[in-house]
Amino acid sequence: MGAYILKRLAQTFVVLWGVSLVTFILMNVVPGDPVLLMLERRARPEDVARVRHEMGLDKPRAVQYFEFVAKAVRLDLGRSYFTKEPVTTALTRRFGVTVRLASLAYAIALLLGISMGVAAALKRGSAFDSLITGGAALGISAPVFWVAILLQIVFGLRLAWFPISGIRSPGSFVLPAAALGIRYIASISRVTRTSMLEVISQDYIRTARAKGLAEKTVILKHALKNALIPIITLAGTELGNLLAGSMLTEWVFAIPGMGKQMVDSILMRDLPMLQGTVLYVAVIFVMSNLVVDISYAFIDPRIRYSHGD
Amino acid sequence: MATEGAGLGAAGGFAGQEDAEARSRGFWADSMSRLAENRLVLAAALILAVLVAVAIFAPSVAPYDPAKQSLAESLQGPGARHLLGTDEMGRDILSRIIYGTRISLSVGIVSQIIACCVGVCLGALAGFYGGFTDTLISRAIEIFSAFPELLFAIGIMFVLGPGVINVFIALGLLSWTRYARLVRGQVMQLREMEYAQACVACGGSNARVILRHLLPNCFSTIIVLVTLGIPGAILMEASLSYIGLGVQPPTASWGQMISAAQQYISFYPYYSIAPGIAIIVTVLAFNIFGDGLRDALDPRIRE
Repeated sequence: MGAYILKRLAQTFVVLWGVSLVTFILMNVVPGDPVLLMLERRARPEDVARVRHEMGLDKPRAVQYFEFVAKAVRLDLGRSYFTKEPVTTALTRRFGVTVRLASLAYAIALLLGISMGVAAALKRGSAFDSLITGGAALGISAPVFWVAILLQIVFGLRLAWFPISGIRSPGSFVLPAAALGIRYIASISRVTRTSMLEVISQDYIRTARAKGLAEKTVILKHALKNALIPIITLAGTELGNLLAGSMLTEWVFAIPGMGKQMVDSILMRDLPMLQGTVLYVAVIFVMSNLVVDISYAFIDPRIRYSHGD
Repeated sequence: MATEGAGLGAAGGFAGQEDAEARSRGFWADSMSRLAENRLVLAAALILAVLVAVAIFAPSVAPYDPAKQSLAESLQGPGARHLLGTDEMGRDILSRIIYGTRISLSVGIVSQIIACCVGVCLGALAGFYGGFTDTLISRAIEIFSAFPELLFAIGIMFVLGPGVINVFIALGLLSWTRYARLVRGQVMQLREMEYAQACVACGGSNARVILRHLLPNCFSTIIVLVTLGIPGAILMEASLSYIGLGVQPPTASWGQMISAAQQYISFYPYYSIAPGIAIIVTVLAFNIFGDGLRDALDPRIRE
């Protein structure tokens, strides 16, 4: 177990280093001079040279990369070109909003996804099952931003139940969380259904029934417990995607989270902000995958033996 | 069993070419008949065929020129003259959706072909040679998968700049890891099989073993991965174009149409709904067809 965790940690370290390199390269091959982007178009050449020196852009690329990493590990990601606010401060503030949205969507997805998947598996072949399976197929085929717009039209404008932008009222998060959650309700219910069907046909379920246990106990204690492993894996990997997927949802609903910040910084070509956001999200993604893998090894002993070599 | 069946076919090439052909045809004919039994999959295949035809013959199918503006007719609801209405510049929405099929299908297919070429080559090298080659390629796979997909696509598009060709490249770079992972694993397993060892023993070069014996056995799995990769790429293109980083106006693309339609949702919702339905139908058809193909080809699901 310890060896597995150590190995996984070392791997993560290499990946994080690669992530920092990829992010740095991406931002350094962007066409256009960042100094000219910051200054007025008719800035004097000596001003340009001075700002370039202040920003350290006149140093060799390798030195710049080293400084970038050295600062990043101290959580210093530079300042926004435009607002001059430290990137880390802005990100931390925005991250809170994104976490609220994502965790609400995640909760909806887990709750509805698992219960719908179990129900569909129990009523296999019925009209209800077809409805869930069909709905799930639709759910994973629809673009998140379009679902968001559809919800805005129906529940925001026609029925006027919820606001369609901003985060001023508590109801503001309902539509965005639903839009973001639908895709994951679909994927989680699919996996739950398949996994439940596999488990239900096992001998020990028949044994449990033969013992005269209540159907509820058989389903919840015996079947679902064992069916949960693939669901946990999926839920784990989807957590990172959900955080990234909230980007489009935030943009549609004008929610001031990290995703909207990222799209904004792209449109304004605010490089430090963009670089910081990409790095921040990638690090969260890598770390959440690490946590999932390690906790998975605790749940299922087979993992640590097969991957621990 | 799929891999083994095809494996026998490929290995049989040593003994008798005819025999090998009969057997490998047997495997594919077998799988295709299984595929044809599934009505839902057939329906999906039919929809895909229609979509491809629409994309190819767009100029003859579309009632109007998708770029023809007529400001006097802007934002009209569905009617006899314009079946799905017109957009903010008076362009026919149906015609723009029809032309958008070209973008979506080509992005889906080309990006997956790029990803497949890169991924299969690197995956085969990693799986076959192992050691340092494998370590290097495996770490690259991990680093490339360390970014959430959309984030990575956005990053690349930001650097490359918008445009269809760049979307091909970005989505190709995004998906190659999936192919590499799969092929690496399969090649690693297959190179230990007797028929591969036999080829080595007969003095076959590494390239021959990989190209003639190992990769053909991964073929069915790769085909499934391509089919199931296309809808993902289509959704990703729509998202990129929606943010304004993908296909640029005036070229008609579904994602970008939805983005343009967004400011009119309060009084003209049809405009944003129609292109979304086009996306769903296309993606759903690919998903169903891909799932069907996997079930027909995958030996483990066969009963």
